[in-house]
Amino acid sequence: MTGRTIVITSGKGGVGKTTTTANIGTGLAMRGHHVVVIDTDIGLRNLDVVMGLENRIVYDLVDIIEGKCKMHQGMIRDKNKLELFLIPAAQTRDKNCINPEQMQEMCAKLEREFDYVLIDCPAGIEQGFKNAIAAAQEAILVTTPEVSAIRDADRVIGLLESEGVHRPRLIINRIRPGMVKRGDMMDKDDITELLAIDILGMVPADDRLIIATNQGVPVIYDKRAPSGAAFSRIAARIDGDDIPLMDLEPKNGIMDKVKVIMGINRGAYSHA
Amino acid sequence: MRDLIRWVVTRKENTKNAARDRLQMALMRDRMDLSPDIINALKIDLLAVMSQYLVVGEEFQEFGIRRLDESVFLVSNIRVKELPRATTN
Repeated sequence: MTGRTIVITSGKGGVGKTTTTANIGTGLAMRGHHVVVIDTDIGLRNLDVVMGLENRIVYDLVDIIEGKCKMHQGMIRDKNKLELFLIPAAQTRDKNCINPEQMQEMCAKLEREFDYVLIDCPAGIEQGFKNAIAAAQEAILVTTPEVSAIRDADRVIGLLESEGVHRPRLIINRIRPGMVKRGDMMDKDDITELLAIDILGMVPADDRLIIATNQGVPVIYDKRAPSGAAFSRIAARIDGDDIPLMDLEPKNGIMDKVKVIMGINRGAYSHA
Repeated sequence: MRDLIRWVVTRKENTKNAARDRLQMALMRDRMDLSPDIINALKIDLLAVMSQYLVVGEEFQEFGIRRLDESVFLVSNIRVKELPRATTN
């Protein structure tokens, strides 16, 4: 078996890399694949809490790389999906304690056991970024529809290219369809044109995602969450399904219309 | 009162166009900072191509990416030491 190693990166912090990694990993496992997700944000680990596995950590990424434990000892099995594993980041070390060659070596081993190796990249473009992208054959770039995140994404596309990771695909996270419709938020055409990049998916801003994350459950399990449905489609596309992009539509309930008429519907959240 | 009028007037404007246009300029400026490796490789390749047609100096007098209004130009100057004779009339 030769798995695919995919890095999830962004440049800017706080755009939803970790949530995206957790949901895509879960989504691919729901499709029956063997998946391992790796948190490479050494010193600032988070993928464990997002997946609700923080109480099960014994060993971490650095322990595996330094040979303090066997590979399978350092992997935490997911609560719900038997096919899904997490390798957490070390919390009390820093990014310089591992190097790109070690990541390549470890991922090469994992690719023999897993269909998908997903790497959650830290923010920034320093050592942690270099470690995270070293082993990847593919990259997924996460951005939000804001100028700062898009500008940093552009930088990262250039850096990925120079490291030999070509044609990253874009996820636009936290889109607010109401604002897009009013012309107060850039849409997917604006963003893909600016970045000259293929789009993998769009995820609407969604209160249910925050509620799911509070509970340590990936939102992809929430059947009523628009963001969860978006992540399901993204996982399917990564897996090779040809699913067209869905246009995100603003909510159109009676109360929303009333609010529009009254002029107070400023932050209309969305359906996928 | 003036602020109120301005708010009423500007409120209607689409801000996404402002975001897109500002980004476009920022990205252009960011991308103009080519890495020294790329600049050097480009210089070497250009010298090699030009040498097939002309005898040129060993160094560019000027070499850089410049912006004029909304377009980006490669501006370079090199001394031509020898021109070939005209072979057609």
